[in-house]
Amino acid sequence: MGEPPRVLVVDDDAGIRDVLDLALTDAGYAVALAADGATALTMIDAVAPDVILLDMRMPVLDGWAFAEAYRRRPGRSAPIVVMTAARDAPEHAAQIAATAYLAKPFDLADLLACVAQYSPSHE
Amino acid sequence: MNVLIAEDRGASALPSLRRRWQRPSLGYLVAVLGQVVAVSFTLYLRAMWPRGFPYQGVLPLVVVIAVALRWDFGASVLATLLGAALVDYYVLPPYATWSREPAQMGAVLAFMAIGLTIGLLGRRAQRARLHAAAAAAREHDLWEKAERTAGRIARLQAVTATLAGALTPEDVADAIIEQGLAALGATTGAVVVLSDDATTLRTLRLVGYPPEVAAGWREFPVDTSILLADAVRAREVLTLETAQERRTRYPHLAPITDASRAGANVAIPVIMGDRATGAIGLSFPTERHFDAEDLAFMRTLADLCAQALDRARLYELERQAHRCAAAAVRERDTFLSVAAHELKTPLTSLRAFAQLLLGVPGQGGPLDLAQTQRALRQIEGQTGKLSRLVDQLLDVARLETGHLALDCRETDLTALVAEVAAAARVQTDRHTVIVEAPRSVPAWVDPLRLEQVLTNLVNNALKYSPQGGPIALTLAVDPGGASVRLAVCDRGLGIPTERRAHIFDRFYRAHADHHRSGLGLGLYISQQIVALHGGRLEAEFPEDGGARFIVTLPRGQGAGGADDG
Repeated sequence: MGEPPRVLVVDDDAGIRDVLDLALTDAGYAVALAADGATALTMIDAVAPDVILLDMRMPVLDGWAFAEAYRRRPGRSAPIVVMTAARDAPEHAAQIAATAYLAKPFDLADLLACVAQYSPSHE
Repeated sequence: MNVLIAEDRGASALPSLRRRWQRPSLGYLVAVLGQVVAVSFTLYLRAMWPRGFPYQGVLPLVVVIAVALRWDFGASVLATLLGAALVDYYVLPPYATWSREPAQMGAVLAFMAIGLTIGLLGRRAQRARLHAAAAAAREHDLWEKAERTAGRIARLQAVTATLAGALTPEDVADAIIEQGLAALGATTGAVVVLSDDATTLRTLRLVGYPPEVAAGWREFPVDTSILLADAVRAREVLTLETAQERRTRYPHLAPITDASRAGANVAIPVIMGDRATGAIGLSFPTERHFDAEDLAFMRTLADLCAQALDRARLYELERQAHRCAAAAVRERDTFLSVAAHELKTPLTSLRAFAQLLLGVPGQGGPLDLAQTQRALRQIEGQTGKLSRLVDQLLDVARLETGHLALDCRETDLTALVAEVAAAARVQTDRHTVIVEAPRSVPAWVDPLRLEQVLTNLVNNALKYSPQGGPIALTLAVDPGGASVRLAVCDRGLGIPTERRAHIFDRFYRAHADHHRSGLGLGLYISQQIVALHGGRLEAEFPEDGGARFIVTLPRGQGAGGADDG
C-alpha cells in the first residue's frame, strides 16, 4: 500500500475537527482540517483530498458556497460527504449534489465506513 | 303638506299659474265686461236678425255660466244681476226703459233665478273639482312617499348586503357613501372615524371633492369647527339647510363652501354604544329641508355604518392576533431548529469521542494514553459547552416567567473585569484585551450574573472581530459616584445598520446569514440581567467600525467611592 488516502475535514466546531482528526488518523488516513469554506479552498490544491467531509453552516464561506467554488475549479473533484445537524440533511446534500450525508450527531462507525467506501484504497 | 321637498318644486309651478287665473277680482271684471259684450252683441244680432232675435237672454246667461264655472259665487251673482239689469233695460221692449209689464218682469226674474241657480251649481262643481284635486294631490304625495320609503328600504337592504362583505373600514365607508349618495341625492360624501384617543378624525373615504381639497382633510383635530366634527362632538345629526345658514354658522368656511356652491349639508354621527366613533357627511347640490323621514333614514345608515365599522375592527383585531400568533410560532420554530443545531454540535463530538474510547468497527486500534487524555479533555470541554447552552435556555425560561432572581452582594467590579479579561486572553492570541479601570470599584451586584453579562459581551467582541485587534474593557465611576459605566469595545464587524434595532431581541442573531454559531440569546439575557440590576445595556456603533456595548449600573446599597489609590 502506498500513500494513505487524504481526507479534508471542513467544520467550524473545534471539537468535531479534533475527534475526526483523532479517529481518521488512527484509522490510517492523512487528515487535513479547515474551520471554514474559505480556509478549505486555500488548502485544497496542497491537500488534494480523496474525500471531503463538509459541514454546511459555517462562518465566512458556508458549505454551499464552498461546494460551488470547489466544483468550478479545473481538475477532478473528490466525493463530498455532508455532515449537518439540520433537520433537512438529505435536502442539503441534494442541493450541492453531495455523494453522501451524515446527520449529526453521527455514529463514528458510520462515518469511518463512509470514508472508507469513498476513498481510493477501498476501490 | 310635503311641498318643501326640492323635487316638488317643478310640479308646483302649474297650480300657481292656475291660481292667478282664478283671482276673484278678475272674475268680477270678466262678469262686467262679459255682460256688456253679451248685451251689445244681443242688440247687434237683434238689429241684424230679419224677423227679430228670439233668444234675447241667452248670451248673458252664457256669460253667467262661464263666470260660475271659472270664478267664485260672488262674480256669478254680479254677472246675473248685471245681465238681468242690462237685459231688462236695453233688450226687452220698450227699449232703454225699465220693464213694467208683468210678462217682462217675469222674464227678468226667471233670468235672475236661472243665473243664481247656475252660480250655485258652478260653485258646487268647483268645490267638487277642488276636492278631487286635493284628493289627487294627497294620493300623489302618499304614493311618492311610499315610493321613496320603498326606495330607501331597498337602499338599506343593499347597504346591509354590501356591508356584509365589507371587511375593512374603507370598504364600509365605500358602501355607505355610495348608497347614501344615491338614496338621498347627495353629490359629495365623507366618512370619518375618531382616533382611539378621541383627538383626531381620520378620513376613510371622501367622494366628490377635488383631490386638492381631499388631500387637506386626511386627518384633522376633532375640535375643528366644521359640521362633521361638530356632529361627532354633539353626537347628534346636524344639518345646514341653506347657504345662508352655513354662512352664519361657519363664516370662516365661506371661501371654501361658497366656491363649491353647495346647497344643503348634513353630518350624521356614527355612534357605537354611548360614544361617537365617527361621522358621515353628505352635501347636496341645492338647498333643501330634511324631514323626519330623511333624518330617520340617515340615522339608520349611520347605525349600519357603526355596526359594520365595529365588525371590521374586530375582524382586523382577529387577523392581527392571528398574524402575531403565526409569527410567534414561526419564531419558536426557528429558535427550536437553531437550538437543536447548537445542541447537536457538542453532542456530535461528545458521542464520537466516547465511541472512539470504546472502540468502533473501522477504527485503527485502541487509543494510546496521550490520545485517551486528549479525548477525555475534549469530552470535558464539550459537556461544559453543552451545559452553558442549557443554562442559557433555562435563563430565558426564567426571564419569561419572571423567576430569574439575583443574588446581590458587595463586589469589586475591577476584580470582576480583570477576571473576565484574563479568561478572554486564554481564548485568543489574535486579540489584545485591554482593561482600563480604577484600582477598585465596589458595587452591590450579583457577581455571577454580572460576570455572565461581561463574558457574553467579551465573547461577542472576540467572535465578531475574527481578524483580531484590540478589545477594550473600560470601567468608570460616574461623577456623582452613584453609578458605574462599563464599556466593551471592539474594532470588528460591527452590526449592519438595518439589524441594529433588533440585537436585543430574543432569538435574534445579527449575523444569522453568515451561520455564526449561537442561540441568539446572549444579548437578550445580558440586557435583562442588567435591567434586573436597575441598569441598562446599550450599543453604540462608532463611525470607524466595530461595536461598543455599554453597561450602566447603579452601585446599589453600601456603595463607596472609587478607590483610585
